Amino acid sequence: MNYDLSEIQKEALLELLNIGVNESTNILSEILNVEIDLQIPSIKIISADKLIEELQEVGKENYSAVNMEFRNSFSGVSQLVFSQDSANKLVDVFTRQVLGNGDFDEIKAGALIEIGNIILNAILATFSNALEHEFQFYVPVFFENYKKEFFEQREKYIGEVVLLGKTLFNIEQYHISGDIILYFNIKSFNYFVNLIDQYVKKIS
Amino acid sequence: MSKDKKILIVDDSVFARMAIKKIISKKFTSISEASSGSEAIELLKNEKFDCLLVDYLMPGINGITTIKIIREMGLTTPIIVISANQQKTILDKFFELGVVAVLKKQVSEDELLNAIDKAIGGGA
Repeated sequence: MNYDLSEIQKEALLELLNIGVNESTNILSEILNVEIDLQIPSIKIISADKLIEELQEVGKENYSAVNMEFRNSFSGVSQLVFSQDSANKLVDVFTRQVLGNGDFDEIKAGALIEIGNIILNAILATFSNALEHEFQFYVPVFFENYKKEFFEQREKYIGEVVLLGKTLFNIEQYHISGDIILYFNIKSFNYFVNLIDQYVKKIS
Repeated sequence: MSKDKKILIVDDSVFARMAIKKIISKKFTSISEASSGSEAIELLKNEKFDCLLVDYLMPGINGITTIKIIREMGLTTPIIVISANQQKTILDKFFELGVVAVLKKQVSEDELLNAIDKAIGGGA
């Protein structure tokens, strides 16, 4: 099976990812009252083994993550990954802005799930609206120790090919940074490519 | 709107340029493209445009730096920013540089053509 994308399909996907991550940071920036910098997103098609390697590069020791799965005719995972230091700072800013206090440990997971929910929903909604395809979203899940817990579940991902989209966000004011990662299981890749083609046809 | 006005699209995404071009080609025939801020600046050294459509997040120099350089070159060409990034602090920086409008990707046909109409009608 050929898993290559044409240049225009790649460009269309990149543009959707760009719009989606910007949409999510627009919302988060308003909530936190801070400016959020984004790197230009990248996408690639890789095997699940490579995905593990890629994610290992992102998730060093002491990294936390929020995962949000989506399913329908194709499925995948959108994910926010940050160092525990960045996660702690992010929760601190978020709770001060939203709740007016910072009873930190008790609400840490809840706050990060809510941040993940805002960011990942905005990205997936961008894809869903542009591709005119409804996703079934699952409740976000928080991984305190991303590396350990995620890689314990790696069997789930082995043997598949995935489309990986990635970008880095940075909140300079608070020295917070993290990765936004989106991967689609390739089982439904052809269907996904078909949607992209329809989208390209509509726009260009 | 005069059909012979010259428009320059500055966006690193070929897909975004295609989408913008599809809309504005309904009203304009003279459309140029630059895939980076630096490329746009080089073009502007030798060619005059009536309106620039500039993205924010691009490799190399971003939209804000690109517009700063264009203004430092003494060019008062009306500029419309088309960006997915709508953070208030970013928008403030664009408006401080005198852009006519900041439109959100993906921009609608009416919104874009109206903004160009306004820019060309009131621009230098």
